[in-house]
Amino acid sequence: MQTRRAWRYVILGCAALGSAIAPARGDDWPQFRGPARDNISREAGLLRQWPAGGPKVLWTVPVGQGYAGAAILAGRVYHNDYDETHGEWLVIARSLADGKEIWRYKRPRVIRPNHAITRTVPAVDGKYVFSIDPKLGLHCLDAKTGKPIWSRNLVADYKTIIPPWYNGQNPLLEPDRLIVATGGDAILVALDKATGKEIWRTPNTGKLVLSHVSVMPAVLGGVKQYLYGTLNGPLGVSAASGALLWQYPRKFNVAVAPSVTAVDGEHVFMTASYDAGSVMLKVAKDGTRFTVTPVFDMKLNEWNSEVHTPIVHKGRMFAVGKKKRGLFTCLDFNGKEIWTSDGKASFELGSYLLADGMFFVLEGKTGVLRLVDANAASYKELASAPVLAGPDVWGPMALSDGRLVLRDLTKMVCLDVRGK
Amino acid sequence: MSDGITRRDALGRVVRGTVLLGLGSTAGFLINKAEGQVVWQVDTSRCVNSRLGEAGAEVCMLCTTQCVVAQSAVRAINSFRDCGRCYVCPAYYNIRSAVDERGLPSEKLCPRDAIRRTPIGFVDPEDPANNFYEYVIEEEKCDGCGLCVKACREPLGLGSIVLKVRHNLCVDCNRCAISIACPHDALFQHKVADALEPTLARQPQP
Repeated sequence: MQTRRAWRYVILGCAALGSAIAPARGDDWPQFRGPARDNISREAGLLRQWPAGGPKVLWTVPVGQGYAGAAILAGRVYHNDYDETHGEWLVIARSLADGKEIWRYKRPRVIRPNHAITRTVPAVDGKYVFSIDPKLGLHCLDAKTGKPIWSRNLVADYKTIIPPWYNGQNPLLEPDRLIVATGGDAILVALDKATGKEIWRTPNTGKLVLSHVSVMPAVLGGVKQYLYGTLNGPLGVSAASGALLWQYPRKFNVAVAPSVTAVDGEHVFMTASYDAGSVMLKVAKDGTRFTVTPVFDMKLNEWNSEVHTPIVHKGRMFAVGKKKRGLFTCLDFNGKEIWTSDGKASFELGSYLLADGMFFVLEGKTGVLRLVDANAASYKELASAPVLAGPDVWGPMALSDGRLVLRDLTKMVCLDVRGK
Repeated sequence: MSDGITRRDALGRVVRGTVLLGLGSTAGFLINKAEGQVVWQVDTSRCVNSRLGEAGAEVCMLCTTQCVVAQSAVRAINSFRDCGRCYVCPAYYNIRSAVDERGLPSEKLCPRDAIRRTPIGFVDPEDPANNFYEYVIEEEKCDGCGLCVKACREPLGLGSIVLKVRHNLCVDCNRCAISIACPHDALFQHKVADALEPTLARQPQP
């Protein structure tokens, strides 16, 4: 019996060791913040040290000015783009291996730069590509060919307004439907992926204005729901019916970009810039209704994030905050700073992603990519390299099959971060 | 007056001499003023209202309260070159006030309503939030309180609004009352000839 148990441990140990040293295996990144919308890749076997000069650059392509990141599925990179010469909104599919264009969808759209133009990531499920353009046109395309299947104009359909600095929302892909926020006549709507027809809508009785927030899935109090945030605070909507489950009135200012995040099964975090701070709420199910209680509310000069959404990892939140030109920060669920990158690095509005126990964190101004140990007790850098020239290296990253796709204002690059 | 100089001529000479003396004095004064006179100005890099990285500090209104001129000789100016021309300007709106259905704050920031907001360039009526707007400070209304200056900073503002001493309003006190009161030593004197220089900060002294 003892021998059998010992062998079991040996086998488990070998399996663990094998997974630790195995080369990266493919894990798609089909939408904004990855497959689970948590900005965490499940890939393993990535490089923990980089050669001099940084990871190998597999390809580089020019892109229209903006911050639109990539989605990756089955060896294809999908990204939104804009052709300023011809005034055309573009959705482009490329080969992940070499960056070569496979197809491009274009549609005339007059868009003036207003803090650049593009800023969203398409959602791809293998059959369809969904893209929301800066003026709230929602496009469904054939993932293989780029041919248009259906489109909707959220401004006309829901009597909403285009947000300042254009749309910043990334559509949420669910197995059988697409979830988007509309503002105007509805808060959120669920759309049939094949037809674009509405499955349900959340009536917008409070006349909430569309923000830059992307809808996030969550399970709170055992109920699957969609989290959203506006200038009037966060809210939760039933995934089954679209009914408004709870709402917490809390003032945010000018614009909200980071998505509302469930840090566990009963706590929700919302943060934004412009003197708004951050708030953590306890959302509990009480019979048939939900109760919302603030855990902490951080005002100006405390911690907040302007653009990106924190990553939840091992009972902590990790994000670039606003203080001191953007310190990468580890926070506990009470809002206490466990550690920061103070004195070592500042990231401005750079993005970050977690994979294989490491954070890939971009310096938003300089384009330096830093690899940070995700399990250390303090800020511990494993490697760094200048991978982009900037400016405005603010777009979200995407990782699939050991290839990291990232961009600055006018250039998209693909890095090979696979371990050998 | 047999030598030909009449009383009338003498009086005329005196008058002409006096006028010439006055003109000469005035010219000398103007030349001296242009070459050597100093005037007061705000060093925007020291002014706590415009100094970037000073988040959380209360707005300083000493330029308004300390100036001996009734409505203060210090006024806010907006440098169009640096302005983002945003839909929601944090200096024009009180961004903490409730928003309406267009996403616009319901209150203005300036207590004297001294900022004028006008759409400029191509105006797309279907996309008002992405039109561009010119923000002009109506100098006759402004009293230099600094609220708009403080608001026009990171993360939303670009620091295009600053406080400046308006020389047509300043009475050139030998010891400027604001400079005495300013805890940041942000008032300084410089030569008239330098007043039109684009640099906003004081020059290092030799």
